[in-house]
Amino acid sequence: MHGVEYIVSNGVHMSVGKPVKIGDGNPYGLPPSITGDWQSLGSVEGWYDRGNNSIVLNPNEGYKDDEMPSAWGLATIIHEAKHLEQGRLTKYGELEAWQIGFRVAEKLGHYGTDGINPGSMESNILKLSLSDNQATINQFSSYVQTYDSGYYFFFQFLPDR
Amino acid sequence: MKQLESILKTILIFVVCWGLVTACNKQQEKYGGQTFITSLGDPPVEFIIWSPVDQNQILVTASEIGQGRAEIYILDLSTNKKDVLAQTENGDMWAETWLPDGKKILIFVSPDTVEFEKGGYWLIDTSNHSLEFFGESGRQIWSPNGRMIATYIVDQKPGTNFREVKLHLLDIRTNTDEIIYEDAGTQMLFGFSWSPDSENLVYSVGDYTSSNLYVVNIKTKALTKITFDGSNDVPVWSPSRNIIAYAKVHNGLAPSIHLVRPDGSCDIKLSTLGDARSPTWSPDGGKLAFGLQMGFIIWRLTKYLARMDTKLCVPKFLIRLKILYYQRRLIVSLTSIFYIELSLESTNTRQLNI
Repeated sequence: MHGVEYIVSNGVHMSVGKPVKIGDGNPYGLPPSITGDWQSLGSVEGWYDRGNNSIVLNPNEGYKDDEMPSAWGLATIIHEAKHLEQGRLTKYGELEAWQIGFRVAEKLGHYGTDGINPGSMESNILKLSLSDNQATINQFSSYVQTYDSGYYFFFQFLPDR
Repeated sequence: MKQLESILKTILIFVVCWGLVTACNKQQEKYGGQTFITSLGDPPVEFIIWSPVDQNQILVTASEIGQGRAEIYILDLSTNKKDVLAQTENGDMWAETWLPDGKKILIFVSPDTVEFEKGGYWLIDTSNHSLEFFGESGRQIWSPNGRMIATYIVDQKPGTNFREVKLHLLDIRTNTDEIIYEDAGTQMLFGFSWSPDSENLVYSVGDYTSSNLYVVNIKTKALTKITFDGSNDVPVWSPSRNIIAYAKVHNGLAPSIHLVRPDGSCDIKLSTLGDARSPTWSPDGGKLAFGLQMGFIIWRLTKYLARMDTKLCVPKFLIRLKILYYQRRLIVSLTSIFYIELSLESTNTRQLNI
């Protein structure tokens, strides 16, 4: 709810972007970024563009301009909105945004009516206390490395808090 | 004469050494060690569930975070081959459980998974991969004797914060349904498992800050709380012993795998390896597999099981008779050693890449 309020009150634009392709000048298939400040939830589902105060969903993941995004797509929007609100991308900020994204996805039925699977990556990350102490950040980093090693390549260079 | 004695000595030493090496090798074969299954592929391994009937079959869920690529396959440990049962390029799914005969598995598929006509629980026949829709809700596990199903159901009212969780027991023969746990609040179920005699159920209840394990007797409804601090999740009862393996998180930090008796005694931390998760027993109850950072590990538990078999939960000792030949005399000595040598448990390590 807070994420929706933030989007509405700050006039954040949302769209489905141009396909992101791995190729010359984009060896990792990264989203285009004006400010060099981008983020995603999961396999590059979407990203934010702070310069244009916007959130973009990746058409490569099946999102279309004229269709309501899936529960995961909506969760991605809230995740990105959290990053816009945070103002600066950090490891701790990422933990906060991942937790919010998972809770929204669960509420919207991405995990069915029975919710997040016990013992899953999502469950383990939701168990981390929202505290920016070093031990929690280190544990979160370890989870990112385990479950999303591709993103970890970039994540490891973020400031802790 | 001296030459003959020297030859005999050499032969004796050779025989003793050969005997020792053979014994060690046999023990290694018998007791195995650790096997690392490295998840080099993409998406990464998330969960594993060992077949209830086949020592060589492990059910693997490999998936990206949330909506993305996911696949569910059976890994054959003897051939290192994958038998892919279900996969998606854009969706989310995971394996829930095997049916007791090991011929079918139950999986959960997220509503937006493109390869499936609808989200919910699906049964897959492991021989021909045929799919059968099972239901929209209700996480289930079958009792080992196949007569009961334990079902976890969450009732969530759309647009409200109302949330009710119930743990049902369904008797397949009499078609009777009984609720053994319910809560209308923030509590969640973090896994459940049957005892091998199908008479008890262990389950984890709590929230994301703390959860504990409870054992309930199906007939008497006697309830025993067996853990008291931290988060204690995904309990799995050994198929051959009264031992429960589970994942414990203290202060929200790295999870570790523990073993505990159903009365809460003899709680042993099994692994200090980082990010240990989803423990699962081999069908004979001799080995435990669990997820780690770069895949999963299979661990033979001889030493730990021997310890848990003792009344006082102490390491077991074996008195061994040693006969030595030294300076033309036979010397008999008694030595006590640990029941199972650590070195033997760790030397037979192999790595499989999937």
